[in-house]
Amino acid sequence: MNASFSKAILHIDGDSFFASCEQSRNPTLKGKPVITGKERGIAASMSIEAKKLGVTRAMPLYKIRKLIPDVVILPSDYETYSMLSERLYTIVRRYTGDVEEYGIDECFADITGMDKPFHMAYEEIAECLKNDLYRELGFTFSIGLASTKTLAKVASNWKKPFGLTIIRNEEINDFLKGLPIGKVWGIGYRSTPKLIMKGKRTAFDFVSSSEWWIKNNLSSPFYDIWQELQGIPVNALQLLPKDSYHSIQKFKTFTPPSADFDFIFAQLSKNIENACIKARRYNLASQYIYIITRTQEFRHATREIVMSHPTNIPAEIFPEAEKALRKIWKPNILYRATGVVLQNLHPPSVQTDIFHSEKKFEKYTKIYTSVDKVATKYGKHSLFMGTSWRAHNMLQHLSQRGDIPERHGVRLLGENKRKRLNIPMFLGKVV
Amino acid sequence: MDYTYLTTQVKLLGTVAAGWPSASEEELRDTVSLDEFLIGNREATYMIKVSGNAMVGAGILPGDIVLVERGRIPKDGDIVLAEVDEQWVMRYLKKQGTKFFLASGNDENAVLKPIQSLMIAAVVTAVVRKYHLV
Repeated sequence: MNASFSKAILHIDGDSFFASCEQSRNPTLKGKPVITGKERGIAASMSIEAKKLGVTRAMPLYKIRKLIPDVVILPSDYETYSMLSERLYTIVRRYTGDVEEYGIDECFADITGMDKPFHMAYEEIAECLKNDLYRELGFTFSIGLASTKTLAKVASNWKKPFGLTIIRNEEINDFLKGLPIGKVWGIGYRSTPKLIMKGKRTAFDFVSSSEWWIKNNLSSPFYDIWQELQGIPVNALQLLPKDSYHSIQKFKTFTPPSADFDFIFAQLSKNIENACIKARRYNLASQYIYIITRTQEFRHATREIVMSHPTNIPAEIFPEAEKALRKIWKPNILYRATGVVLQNLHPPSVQTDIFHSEKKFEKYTKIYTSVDKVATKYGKHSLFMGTSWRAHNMLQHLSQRGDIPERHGVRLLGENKRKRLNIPMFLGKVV
Repeated sequence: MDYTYLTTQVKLLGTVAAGWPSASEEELRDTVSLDEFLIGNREATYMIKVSGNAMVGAGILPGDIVLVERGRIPKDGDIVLAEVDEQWVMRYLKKQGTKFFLASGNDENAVLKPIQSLMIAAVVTAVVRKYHLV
């Protein structure tokens, strides 16, 4: 039993992950302020150089251009980021099977007991991992080592970039004393002012409260945080990758905004097709479907559709979706986004006593099994409903926001618009 | 030799082979895919499309896909991918005494420059050249 660690939990956090992915594969970007998120109009990720010049997350791009005239702004290449994210998890799994894939650029790992087979102290394992990631992925991660997930998060954020911070049980208070309560994982912007009003300005103020006070003044998640901050592990790692969903959402902005009903419906249809593809992949279906519209003025409208049976077939949803959209669509108003939510997901089924719908269900199942097979072979959306044509037939964002990632512009022999080799590609000229 | 003759011959080979037991999983267990054959450390392997002529002498042509491995310790004579003045440079790594040089693939004596401080990003591990769509 190690007195310094009740458990040995690592939190591994990418430093400016998306921007780092870009810099590491293209030498022309090294040492420069780089922003990703061009297609969204705001900074999704900024390189260390950009952070130093004052760029913050979600800052609008026009503001960034004013701040740094020679900034490099790139469209997100989620395909490459996802490949590198998978590599992150694989490398961490060299040291333990217990890995929680918490986000595209971060994960938790439980290395409790691994000190013996590796003949290394926990600190050394963390150091090795940190170096592996840098050497093989070409950019840096910051790692925190502590007894709980909450403390490991505090630690990984303590020193960035390329930091390794260790919080032993006996040192916990040194870390919590200067830490604003709002910086603690799980304490959101709504609870922060309330806790400050109660005199809990720092994580130390919070953790020094009595158990009685916590239990009588706050809800149970705060009690968990209170324990975790003391080094008592409460939050277990969620080890399995997500293999089921309660709901599936697809929401997409388009530029320029449009007042044309058919075009807006085509956008909605494309979202419905995307949501259904995902639902079919997990063999789920929904009977309760929400559609959402967003206007240029950021006003939202939603409407629920109740289907006669749970479905994941776009052709069944479209007629109902069109009726619902007609109810909330208003003429002469510019819309900028549509979305769909499939709720209460369950495996697909049909009432067997209705002969007609059973036949139809079988027919659709056959058709869509083929549609999905075609997609596996030739790429997503090789076959789609004519209703979505106008959305498929254009880039999601005309104008500058519509720039495609540079990797998508490089087409190797045999690659197509949708399908590319599953190895990340370095960009830039080779002389 | 014309094509008809060749086709006939292939057919005959097929006939000769008939009668052997069908391929069993047991026998195929020790084969590797082209992926496994070409890629050692998957997490560290990247690809890059060659644009320059510098390594034609080494058999690497413009348009070729080169597989490179990050973090591999480069040895004398390896082909490496280095970062020089904001560009990728693909060359032989040569060692003379204690000094390292980058040498062109076309003329081994044409040395790029002695390396003061140079960032070697990766070591070339394989070249892929595809001639037909499928």
